[in-house]
Amino acid sequence: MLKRTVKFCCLVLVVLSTSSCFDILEEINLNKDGSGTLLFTVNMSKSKTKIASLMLLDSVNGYKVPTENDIELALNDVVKHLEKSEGITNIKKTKDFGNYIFSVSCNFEDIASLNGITSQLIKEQNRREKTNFNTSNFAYDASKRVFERKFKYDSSIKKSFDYLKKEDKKIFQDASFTSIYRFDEPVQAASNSNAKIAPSKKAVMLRIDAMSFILGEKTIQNKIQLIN
Amino acid sequence: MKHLYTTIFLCGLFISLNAQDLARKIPSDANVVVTIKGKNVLELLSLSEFSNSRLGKEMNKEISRETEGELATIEDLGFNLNENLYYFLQTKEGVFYNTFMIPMKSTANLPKLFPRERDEVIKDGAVSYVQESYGGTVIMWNTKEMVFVVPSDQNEDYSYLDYDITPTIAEPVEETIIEEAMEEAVEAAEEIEESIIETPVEAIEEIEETVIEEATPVYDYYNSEEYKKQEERREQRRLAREAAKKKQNTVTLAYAKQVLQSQPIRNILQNSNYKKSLGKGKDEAMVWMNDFPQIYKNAMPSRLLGPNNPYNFLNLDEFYKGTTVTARLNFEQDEAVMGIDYTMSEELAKAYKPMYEGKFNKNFLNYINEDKLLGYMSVNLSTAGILKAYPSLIETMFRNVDQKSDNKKAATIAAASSSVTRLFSLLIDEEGAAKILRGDMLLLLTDLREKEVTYTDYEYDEEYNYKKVEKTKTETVPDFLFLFTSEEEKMFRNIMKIGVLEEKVDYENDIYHVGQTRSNPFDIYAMYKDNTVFIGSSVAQLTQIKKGIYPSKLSNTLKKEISKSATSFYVNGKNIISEIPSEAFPRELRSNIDFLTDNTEDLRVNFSKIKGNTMTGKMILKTPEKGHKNSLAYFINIIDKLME
Repeated sequence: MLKRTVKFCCLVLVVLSTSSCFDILEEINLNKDGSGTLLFTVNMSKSKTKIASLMLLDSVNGYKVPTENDIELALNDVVKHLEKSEGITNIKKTKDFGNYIFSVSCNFEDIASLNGITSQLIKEQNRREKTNFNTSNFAYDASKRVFERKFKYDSSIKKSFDYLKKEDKKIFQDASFTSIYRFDEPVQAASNSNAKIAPSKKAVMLRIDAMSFILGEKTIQNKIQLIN
Repeated sequence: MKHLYTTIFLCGLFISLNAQDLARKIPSDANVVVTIKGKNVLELLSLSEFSNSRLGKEMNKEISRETEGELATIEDLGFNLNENLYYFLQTKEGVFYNTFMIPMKSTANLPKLFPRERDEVIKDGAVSYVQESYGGTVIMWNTKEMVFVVPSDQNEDYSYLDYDITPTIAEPVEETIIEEAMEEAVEAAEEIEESIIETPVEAIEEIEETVIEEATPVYDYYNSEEYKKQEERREQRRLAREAAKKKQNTVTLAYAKQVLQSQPIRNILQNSNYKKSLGKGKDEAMVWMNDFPQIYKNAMPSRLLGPNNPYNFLNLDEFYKGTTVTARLNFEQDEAVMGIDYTMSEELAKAYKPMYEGKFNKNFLNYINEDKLLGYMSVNLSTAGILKAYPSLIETMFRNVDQKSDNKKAATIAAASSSVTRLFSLLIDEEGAAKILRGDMLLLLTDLREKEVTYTDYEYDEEYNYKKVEKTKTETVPDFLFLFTSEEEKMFRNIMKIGVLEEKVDYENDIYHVGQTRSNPFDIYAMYKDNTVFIGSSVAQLTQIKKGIYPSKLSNTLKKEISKSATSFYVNGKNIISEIPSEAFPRELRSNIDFLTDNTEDLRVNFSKIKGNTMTGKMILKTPEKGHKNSLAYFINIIDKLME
């Protein structure tokens, strides 16, 4: 009965909780020769009370709630996938179940290796869902000194969002995506008007809210011209 | 057409009463009977008032749309407003017949409901009808009445192979087409190469991949012998199914005709169970359900359940025979009340009775403050009664299984279950167990309070280097208090002592504290006082209880309901709406929070102890008098507001 009481209160809390957001952080340090490091972080700390409550329930809104073990397994799958990817080394994962912050980092030999991490997955997604996403996310032209974060908006993003239940849509209301790209050389210009260039000119940050991204109002696409 | 059926049924909710004429057409072995007493309904809300509501207007619009403008209002349908609407369910040879009966003032307009060619109105002597060919649904009328029969055949046996499957395997590609595609791709790639470096290579690779995939020889399954045979079998099944459906449609038509034109030899008014449930006729609606095992058997034919069919090893007939449920809905001036009577067999009542004979701990009433209370749930059972009754329930459930089942597995399960419960009964000391947990419990949702919580965020310097920082924010969390009677103080303290020794529990001022963990987002406090264990989320509340200064306030109604009921449930709608932060409401409701606060009252649900062989329940939803003519009008007004 006590367990049920706590579960009941969790349910009340889940209903009441207004903050169910998450932040995604993509950080790349790019060397002159096209090699570099990638750090990818998912931070759900702002929603930690809600997530802890959700995890006490078996299912919410008809979805099975993943357990810590499920999350752990998913992280291990990511690491295994990276280990199999060509040109990817020094893979590290961190997990903080107290704050629900999870990250994966690795070194890449060149941009092709970086793209290789996700290209097959995206191809598979395009084939299965008839979407039209770029199969490579990054490009670097060493001779022209141009780094590019590619992204082609596909209307399936909004369609998938529209398909969600009202309650599930709430999760994206306060979510955000942040990218930070660092370079050895100074940046001359960035094509994305929402991007900011650091005073030292050696870093570019772009932060957009999830809803603008989903609706196609803002993009994460960015072409960064380095000084030759 | 589906919309039309729904509209007709909803319209029927607003027609009136002259009880017994149509009831005489309901066979005495009907499993479910629903009565809508139109006269009572119309006294609360007239048809014109309903027609002027948003819901009524929407329904009028639907009628006009479905009849291509021939009819405009509910009145045009010609329902007789002086009689009753009935629904009944009868099961025959695995087919559920859902029948709606509507008395008619005039049936002249009914053909206008079917303007489409496919819904041909057929005249057959004194009756006219339309039958939908796919589901077999029949709408049939004479000059005075209309029946609407929806059959549901539980014998239908579909296989997933019976559905059409569209071939998805690609056609083999000819050599020349491959070469052409390659040339085109290379040309396209060369054109693009100047401006973009990576894409052409990728494009060529992708096209090559596609072409290679398409060129791979494929097994032509759809021209194979195996496929042809499967198609033949499927066609045979389809033809058999169609023939069965046709036959069933004829049976449904005859059934509708029989209901409309004749009276059964024994009608429902001759069923004593039904007659007993009729009450004083002051209700707006009544639902009566009879003979659960029969409904269950018809809903789940044994061939569908296979080896796990509980009928093979459980004595469900024995157990649930004579079980009826009656629900009556009354819309009063300031409350909507649903009364429920659950009547069970003598045997079941005898087994259940001791479970519900719990003693209520009157001290519980000292820990309820109605001014702040958001809701409660009380359970008043007898642990000793449950432990004593459980073995005999299992015994009854498996009795006679050996004789009636030739299934060895079922007999083994029955023997094993009886032995285990017998052993359980011999080993357990029922009175001793009741000292630990007597069976009376109360869960209170005492408050919603703002709580400061920390979270991790990032702070960036001007070079976008970041560091983790701890920030705080406010969240609304519920406060609860859970009480149960226990004479075993020593056991409680020993369990807590283990927690303290294991450093999982803190102890201060005679209150134990279990801190938040990853799997528990609440601080939980526990203590023992006056034969009661208290577990709650607020140390302040437990301290007040410890010192005997907890502010208690409770109305006589709630006092009576908690202490006399086997189960009691209460939600203080107004308090909850006012406590929930506006951001927690869905966006579309935020502008209506004031309306919701003004128009949300209490909900109370109570189930009595078993008297005779009946358990009585009552669900009461209080409605505000201000702004609403009565509780039925309240619901229509709320729907109107939500439709805005």
